[in-house]
Amino acid sequence: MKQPALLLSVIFVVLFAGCRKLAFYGDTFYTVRGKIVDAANQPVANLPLVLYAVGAEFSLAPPGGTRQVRQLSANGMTGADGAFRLIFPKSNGQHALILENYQVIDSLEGSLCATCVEVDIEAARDYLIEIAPIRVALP
Amino acid sequence: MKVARFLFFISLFPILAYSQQHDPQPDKTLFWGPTVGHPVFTGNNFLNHSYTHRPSISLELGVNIYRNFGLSASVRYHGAGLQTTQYVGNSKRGGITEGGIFAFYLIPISDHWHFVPKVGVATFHLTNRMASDHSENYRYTSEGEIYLLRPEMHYFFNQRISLFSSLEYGYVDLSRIQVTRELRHLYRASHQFHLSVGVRLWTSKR
Repeated sequence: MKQPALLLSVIFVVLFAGCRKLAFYGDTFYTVRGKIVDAANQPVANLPLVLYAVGAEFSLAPPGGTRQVRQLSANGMTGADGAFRLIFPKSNGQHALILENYQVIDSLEGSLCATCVEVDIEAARDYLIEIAPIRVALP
Repeated sequence: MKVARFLFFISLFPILAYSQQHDPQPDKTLFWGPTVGHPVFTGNNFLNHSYTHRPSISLELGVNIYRNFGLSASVRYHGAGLQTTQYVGNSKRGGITEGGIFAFYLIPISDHWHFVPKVGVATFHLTNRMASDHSENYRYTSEGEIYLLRPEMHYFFNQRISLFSSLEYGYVDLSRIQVTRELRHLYRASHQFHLSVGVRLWTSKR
């Protein structure tokens, strides 16, 4: 009888240990900077941008288990030259820049979905993340 | 910021020395009471650019240590609305909590009027609550210190109750916040002015 209880305890601990709650830290602010261009390499002006922190959390509420959570960390808009700059607080999740109404057709950054690019804070230099121009197109 | 700390502690010695020579007052006097106020941030910094000012509330407890020289401790809270999220991420509102200690010297001007200059240092906790599209409410806290100069003018209705007003200056040291070099000047420090009125209850005759 002791072995199943022990096994369940280990599984429970591993589940909780593996799913850190998404958290934000006000002691560090990152800046992500880049430019959005269209298929003809022309700047896309006034494009709304949102940056999400994405994490996984364990929940006992139905249906239970691990679920993905995302929290809007910062939002902004491209300028007339297609350039943007977003400042956001550090978090322990992944970060994704979402381009509303556009699809990413070319980016050097990793892509988490068709309309977003990954913002890797591990690649930051002096808390600044420079993103190569992102080519987008209307879906 | 080490210079500011040094100057703060150095400034305590003349007050203590002066208090040992003047105005003998053998009895210990405790005081406490609430204060309401209104803060204003100034300067080219993210606090001034990002937040609107809301009224503050604080509580203070103090005691004379030697004659008219004393120490007090206070906690203060004020909310802060957002006028832009450009520098602070997706915050919907902020709240600032300060907990500090003060050194003061009580200078009687007349039977009813007393001038009480105070110098203090406090922790500065700025908590931002993030706008969320689901039930979870995320928040993050930026921390610093605030160095305070607070001249208070008290009017004593009797020996036990005084009403006072003050215009306080605070230097908010935010240098612990990490940002990229080109933005560092916005996150280094801020200046805070605080207009306050309050009531103090005193335990014994001053």
